[in-house]
Amino acid sequence: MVRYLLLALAGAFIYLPMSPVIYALVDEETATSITIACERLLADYAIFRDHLDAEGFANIFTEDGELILGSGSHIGREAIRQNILSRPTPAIAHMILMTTIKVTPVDESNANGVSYAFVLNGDRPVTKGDAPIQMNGITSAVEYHTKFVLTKDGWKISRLELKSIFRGPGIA
Amino acid sequence: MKGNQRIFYLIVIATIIVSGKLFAADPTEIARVNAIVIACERLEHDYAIYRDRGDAEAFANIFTEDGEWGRPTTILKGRNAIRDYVAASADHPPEAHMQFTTTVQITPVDETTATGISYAIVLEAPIAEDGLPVTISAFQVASESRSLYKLTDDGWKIATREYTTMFVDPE
Repeated sequence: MVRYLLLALAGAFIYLPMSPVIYALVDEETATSITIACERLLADYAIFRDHLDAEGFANIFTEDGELILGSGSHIGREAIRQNILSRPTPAIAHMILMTTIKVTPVDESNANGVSYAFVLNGDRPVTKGDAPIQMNGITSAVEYHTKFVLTKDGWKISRLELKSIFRGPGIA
Repeated sequence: MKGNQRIFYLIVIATIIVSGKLFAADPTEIARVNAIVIACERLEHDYAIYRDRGDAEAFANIFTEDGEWGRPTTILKGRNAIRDYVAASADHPPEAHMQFTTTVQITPVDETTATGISYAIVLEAPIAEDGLPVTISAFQVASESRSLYKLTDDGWKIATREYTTMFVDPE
């Protein structure tokens, strides 16, 4: 009897993560909270990157988080922080315009995301009162594949991979 | 270990793993933050839609009574000034105008205050005699707005807003 019960439990552990049943474990209210938290992380990603806020940017990742850009993989908060600090200051005008965002809660502490963005990349800083940079169109359209995880400090990105899909004309 | 004990411990461990509540945050705090974020994001979308439609009354009402809207050369102060400005814009020749609000970062400060940074791309062009759609070759403007939101008796409103045009179409 005990053996059968143990087998049943073991089976459930193998089956549940692969099954749609797992989604029932995340109630609607929780799913909404997860979605909002993850969407906020993607907004933070864009704003902190564009404003070269290295500390803010690194802290949206888990301690061992991975950021995969065209230039390569950056593993761990320190490497991610250095990626931002290595860029020229003051910040060259750069905008990550997040558009479509789809967050899929996996369970109460894991979620996946796919998001799209237009990227505008200038050749000089633009601050209040400066003339805007003339552009013939977008610099690129990109896709982000993201894994989110709930930590003791709230939701964080454990992995984000950038894929460039379209390249536009950019600066005039 | 007896069989019943083994089952008991397994069920306890399974409950912890499946519930995923190892790092459960305060649900009340999460709900409070989420409510502020959603309310302010709605203001951002109202801003775009009402501006595009030229709905001066609705547009003015997303600001506080003494709200300030920073324009490139001036700051419009108060709902009446904002309403009059948008109403006057509507008198111009018909123009297709769409503000695509994209990245929105809302930061709750306290129970009644929040700040936000938002990005938008704007498409605009005069509507020709043959009507819509209007042909364009690129976006006209990409801008960054910074807003201060306040909770009023009528809900969340924009107290101050200013924007910087970062990129433009050369034409």
